[in-house]
Amino acid sequence: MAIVLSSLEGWAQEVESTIKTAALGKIDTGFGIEQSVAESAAAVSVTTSEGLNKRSAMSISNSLFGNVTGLTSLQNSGVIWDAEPTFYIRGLQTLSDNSILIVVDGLERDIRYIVPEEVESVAVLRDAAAVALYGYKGINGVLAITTKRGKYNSREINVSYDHAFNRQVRSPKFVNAYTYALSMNEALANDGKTARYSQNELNAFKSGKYPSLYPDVNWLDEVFRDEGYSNIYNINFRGGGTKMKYYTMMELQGNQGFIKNGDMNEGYSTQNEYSKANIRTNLDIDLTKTTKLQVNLMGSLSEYNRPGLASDYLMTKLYTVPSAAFPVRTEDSVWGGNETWGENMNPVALVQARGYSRGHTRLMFGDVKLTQQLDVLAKGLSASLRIGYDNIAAYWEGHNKSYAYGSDIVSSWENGEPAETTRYSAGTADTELGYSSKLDWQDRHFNFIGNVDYQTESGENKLVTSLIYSFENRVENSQNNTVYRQNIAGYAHYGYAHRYFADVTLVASGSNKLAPGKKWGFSPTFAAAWLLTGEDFMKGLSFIDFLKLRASWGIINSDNIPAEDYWEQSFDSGGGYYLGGSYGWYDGTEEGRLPSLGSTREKALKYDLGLDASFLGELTVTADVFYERRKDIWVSAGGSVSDVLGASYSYVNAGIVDSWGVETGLCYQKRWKDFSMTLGGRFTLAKNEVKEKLEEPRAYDYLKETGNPVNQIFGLQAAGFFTDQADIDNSPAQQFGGVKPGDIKYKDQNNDGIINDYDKVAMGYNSTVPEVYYSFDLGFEWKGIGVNAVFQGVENYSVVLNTTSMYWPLINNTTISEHYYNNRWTSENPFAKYPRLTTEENENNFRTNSVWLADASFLKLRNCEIYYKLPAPVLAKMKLKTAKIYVRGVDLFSVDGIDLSDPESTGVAYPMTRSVNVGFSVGF
Amino acid sequence: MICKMKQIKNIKIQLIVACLCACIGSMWSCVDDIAVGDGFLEKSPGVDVTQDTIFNKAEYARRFLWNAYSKLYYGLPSYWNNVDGKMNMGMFEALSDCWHSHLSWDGVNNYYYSGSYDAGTEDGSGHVRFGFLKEECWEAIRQSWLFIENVEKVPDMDAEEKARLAAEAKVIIASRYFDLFRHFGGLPIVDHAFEVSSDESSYATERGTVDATVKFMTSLLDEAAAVLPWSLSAADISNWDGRFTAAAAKGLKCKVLLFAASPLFNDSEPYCSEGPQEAVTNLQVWYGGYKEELWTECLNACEEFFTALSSNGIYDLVRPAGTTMSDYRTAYQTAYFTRGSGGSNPEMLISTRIRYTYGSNYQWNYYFPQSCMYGAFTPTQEYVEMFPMGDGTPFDWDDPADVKNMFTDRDPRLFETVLVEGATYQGRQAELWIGGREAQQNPAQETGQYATGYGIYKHILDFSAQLNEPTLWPYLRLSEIYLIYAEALMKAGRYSEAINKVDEVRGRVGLGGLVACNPDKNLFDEGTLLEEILRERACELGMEDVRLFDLIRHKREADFTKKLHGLRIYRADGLETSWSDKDAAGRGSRPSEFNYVMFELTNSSRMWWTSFNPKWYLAAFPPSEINKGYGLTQNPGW
Repeated sequence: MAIVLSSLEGWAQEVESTIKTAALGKIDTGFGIEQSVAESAAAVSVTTSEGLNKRSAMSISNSLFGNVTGLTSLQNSGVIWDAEPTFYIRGLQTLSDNSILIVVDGLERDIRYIVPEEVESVAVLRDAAAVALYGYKGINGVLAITTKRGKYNSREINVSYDHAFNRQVRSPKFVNAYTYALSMNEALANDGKTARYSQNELNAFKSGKYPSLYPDVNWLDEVFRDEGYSNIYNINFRGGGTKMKYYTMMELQGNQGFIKNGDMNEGYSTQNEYSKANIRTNLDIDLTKTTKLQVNLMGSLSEYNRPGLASDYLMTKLYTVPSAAFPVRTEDSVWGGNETWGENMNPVALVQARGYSRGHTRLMFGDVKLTQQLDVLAKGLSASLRIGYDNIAAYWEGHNKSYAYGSDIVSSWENGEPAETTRYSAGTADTELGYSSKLDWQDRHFNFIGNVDYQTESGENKLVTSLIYSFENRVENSQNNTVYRQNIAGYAHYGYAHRYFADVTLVASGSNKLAPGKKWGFSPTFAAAWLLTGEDFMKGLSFIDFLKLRASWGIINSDNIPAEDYWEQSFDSGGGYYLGGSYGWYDGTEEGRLPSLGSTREKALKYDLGLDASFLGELTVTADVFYERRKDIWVSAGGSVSDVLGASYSYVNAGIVDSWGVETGLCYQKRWKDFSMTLGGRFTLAKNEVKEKLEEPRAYDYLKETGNPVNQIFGLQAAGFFTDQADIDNSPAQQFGGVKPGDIKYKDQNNDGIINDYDKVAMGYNSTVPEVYYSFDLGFEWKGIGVNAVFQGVENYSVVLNTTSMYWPLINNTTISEHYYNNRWTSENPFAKYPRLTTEENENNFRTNSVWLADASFLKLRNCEIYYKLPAPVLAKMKLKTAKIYVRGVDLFSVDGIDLSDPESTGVAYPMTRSVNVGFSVGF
Repeated sequence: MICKMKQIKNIKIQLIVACLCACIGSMWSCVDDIAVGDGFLEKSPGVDVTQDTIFNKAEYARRFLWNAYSKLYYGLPSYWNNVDGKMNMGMFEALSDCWHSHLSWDGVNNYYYSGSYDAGTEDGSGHVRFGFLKEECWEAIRQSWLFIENVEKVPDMDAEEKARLAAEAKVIIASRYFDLFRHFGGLPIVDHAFEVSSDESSYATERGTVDATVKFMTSLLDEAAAVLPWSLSAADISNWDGRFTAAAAKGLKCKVLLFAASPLFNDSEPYCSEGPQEAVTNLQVWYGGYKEELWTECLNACEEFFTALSSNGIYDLVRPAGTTMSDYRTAYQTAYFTRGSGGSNPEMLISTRIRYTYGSNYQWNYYFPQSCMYGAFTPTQEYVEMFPMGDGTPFDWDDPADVKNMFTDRDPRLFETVLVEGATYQGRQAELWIGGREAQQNPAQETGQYATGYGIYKHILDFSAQLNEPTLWPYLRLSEIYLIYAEALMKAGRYSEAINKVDEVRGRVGLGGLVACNPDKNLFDEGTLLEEILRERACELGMEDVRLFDLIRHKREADFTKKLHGLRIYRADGLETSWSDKDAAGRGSRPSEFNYVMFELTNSSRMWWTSFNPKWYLAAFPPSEINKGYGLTQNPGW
């Protein structure tokens, strides 16, 4: 498939910063065929390496925010080795799987191990013409990473170093112990229960006189330090002779996380630490004049170290344990803890007294490609073979222990002072670390690609054709993750008079995931391009350098399936019965979901109209409008079938989703002597509508999900809070449990006098993918001194704020955020933002409704940089080719409407980080 | 020459490369063969189970049936899901006049006491009294039909066992139909397992009439009873107790026919005149008029049952070992609480199970004890007063002796059903006075476990004796058949025989005969005797899902609208403290003088008390199901 990628990359007509060369030059399309980019009819956007490595990210995946037209990249929080972003192309297009295909050098690979330095370009393949050759896998779009290759007859060595100062930002703020105790008492009073804390205890919390009996612990401050650090060292060699070229890179990364006092134990650290070493060698060898061998080898070893166990859920505990719960340690140095919060709830103990866990991930990506020119048989004929084998294995080691914990509990008071205490003790202390290890997960992937290519040109006619056969075998962790696929593809490109171009791609794909008889699917795609600047009538318009219109249409099939073996009746064990007078249990077997008969495959009809242009040698523009009908989406027939059937319904191919939108990219570059300027902007609008999903018949039209976008949020419309019992009595009955003054009062949408699920309405957007994703960047350089910055934002994006303690506080012995406390309903503050405090699982308040719905749109400064490039005379003196030093800021600020946390991470998660980096790179 | 050299060199290199490729290729192919074409696209081998596998081995086929058993009705709330959760920790028995729920967030309070229930609730909530689609009835029915239709294929099972297991499957179908029938009326008749089809309309089955539904159930039960053994052999009980027998099938038939013959469906007027009336017109919620023969059918079924009983024996009321209160209580408790149907518990005809036992009242997957602690089942004063005195005479507030012995000399079943002041409880005496160890301020504030001044005892006992004991649901007991028989005999005008049957049940707990105990009543009057039978059923079958349906099938609106009460018990010495937690040396004798204050229940009050509508007798179907348009009609009023 490498051939496919590189050919597409060749078709790329929009190279963001250097469109003139890219659009008008000759590019190797990967078949050994040179093709003008101007001839292509597909919607592909490409970003080259200069634009990618400005975030000092440890993985290319975290370098792509706002960099590439058409790619929606959403950041996620987590420890550094886990914080992978989520990618979408053209938004939500289906009810099933919306994830995109990611390839590295043409083969499906996990990009989180690829470092930005080794990446030559990133391409986003968006329309049918661009994704057709990927068979079943390309339906949601493709993100194609191409790594760097050598250069003939040259030699260069680059060395770089980057150091980051990382800081956690927008950490949650929970109330202090005294406020917690007050709010608990208030909540209990609201629930008609007796107070938990007496006046004596409240006084003790307020005065802070007895820190081990009535503590006030800011757990986040105790667990986390302010700063973490990262280092990235890179050396790479790029060059070649007359018959071969090479690119070799070694990168070493290290990260020290935010755990405070991670070195409290002798002999080991409990810091969140990460290190990764990457080695890549890409070789191109001309074995003969007509034979070329390409070898790509990449190895990566990574290791992480974390306190305790991931299953201790440190962040959950930090979002649970109140400041008043117990001291970090008792006066005699026993870890704090008590009966209410139980075992493994002391966050500081979790990071200091639970030992550590370590993970190792080892991978090798390797592929070999051999190309033979066969001009002896026919002029313009060639053939190639490519074999790839990737293997990743992740191992886990636990060096863990348990600890004893306890606390002193005041049993009597005298004159407002604690008089007697009793000791609560629990847990057992291990002095020695235990040891366990396992294979965490694995992934093996074998690829074979063979093709025969032929091209001919005579007069005004040009024909390029390829016949490609590929197969892959991918084995992940279980039987159902063993996937076999194959594709047979025919591709023809016809050009007339260097102005009119037509492409046909015919692909037959097979997959073992699909039902017998339906394994093979046929996907035809047609595309055409018209190079207007090649026409005589355009000659007079000299300010237009380049103008091309293109259009594509195609049917793309997919092997998305609703369940394994969906074509067979399944039977599940379970649901046995207790029979007999003695203790008898009899196993049961029950019928599973009914099989799907007469199935087909999910498929997309993709339409795309595009334009690529360049003006005055300064401004380049690309724009696409797209429309897609996704049909035969797998849905459950539950909505239309009588339930007296007594079984789970079959899945059927009946879902339909329409999606449409616009993608544009602009780039303006200007140079005046010593001063140069770059301005860029990218904008994606992707909307969609569910046309059919076999939804159950709804009592009211506004309850229908059909007709709304995929994942549309539905909830109740709040109409304030109940002010008193009279208000409750005079309002429609709310069916979600008893209500009290201060609970959320809902709008009766259907005026039936009852508030229930029938009163839900569509509100906001979805919380999966924003409809609008945009970015803009600017860069100025004067005599080697430069600044640049990338801003990226989203619009039409919603979130339901339901985070424990932050927005849904106190229930199940959780804590409460300052924000909630200050905005809670009380009888004195009836027009508050949030409902009354309660300790009960209040189903009336804590459900999706307009109180919790928030606008998640944001505008972030993704990265900005000030740099200095040494001028040529100095470089010459130092015998260097390039040299650059920089200071860089990553994720410095966000403008958004979420008060407390990052709009991309509102749940229980590690806080997002902000970094300042310093670094240099030198080329010899 | 040079040119030739170069060519040779090129060929050499090409050869080397070709070899290299072959090597690389074979490296992979030696582990996983590379097949081409469809052969390459097979799934990797696994252990998938198909229908053929299941009915190819007796062992697997039986498992299929045990799973259908596991979908039988179990009445107590036990876990957080739609089936086991019942009404979100509550039970619909708390809609009757015998029990009141003080668990403010259960489905009983949320939808029924508040009156906010409507048809839409059936779509939105799993906490309604019995969801049409949420109780796994249809799954059990399909699973049973699949079993019946395929068991013939099983090679290693003898014909006798096949017939017997198929008959058991039929009882499962009938019982699940009855579970639905008493909440909804006529039902779609699913008399086979639907073939899988891509045409969804082939699953459509329109709603049947009451008559068709009843005939469907009774004919399944008749077919089963003809095949099943009357009882399990003594040897089989230890392994197979809980499986259906002919006695179970015949008994269930009596229960079905009693419900069908009762005035709800069998009257000159339909029970509800509100729209939509389609189900009324279609005779899906009544018989279209009063049909005396329905009572005859019920009577015949009872007589058939008792004829078989007298010839086959085995089953009997659990008889007391002696004549003490404790003997009577033990007998009564054994009858509903223990396993060994036809053996150590001769009275049990059908019992269902959800787990074997539980070792803690806080068992994570069996929350019934917590449900009790939350006050989901608090007995009403009205209920307590239904239980006669120990000799069988009615309780009378105006009789000081009755009041004095109110909590000591009563129908032994009271103490087995309701925890009353002074009853033996966890090795001491329960303190249900205000401020007492159990009651605390519960009755004063009308909240919690003892909100009415009483607690639940049935099923939960004293929160300790029931631990590690089997957790049965007494689905059908012989004593109920006696009382059904009595009602049918009464309708046939055979009063003395009817009274006789009731007296047998009373006699088991030492109560005197109805006539002797009620000298002021004419028990040879249908209305009077019916009252006594229903009262007797409430006392005998408390918390066995009987009382609510008795009120419904007799359309007893007055019982749904009457105000209910609790009892506040005050120590005569005015103290509101516990006695038993005091030091034994200094606490003196247990308080024995109390003041009783009856109070009206208000937390929560029931909307039905002020505005009842007969539509409540049957539940609504979920509108989403009706909107599918396969012929399900909504019940009147919804």
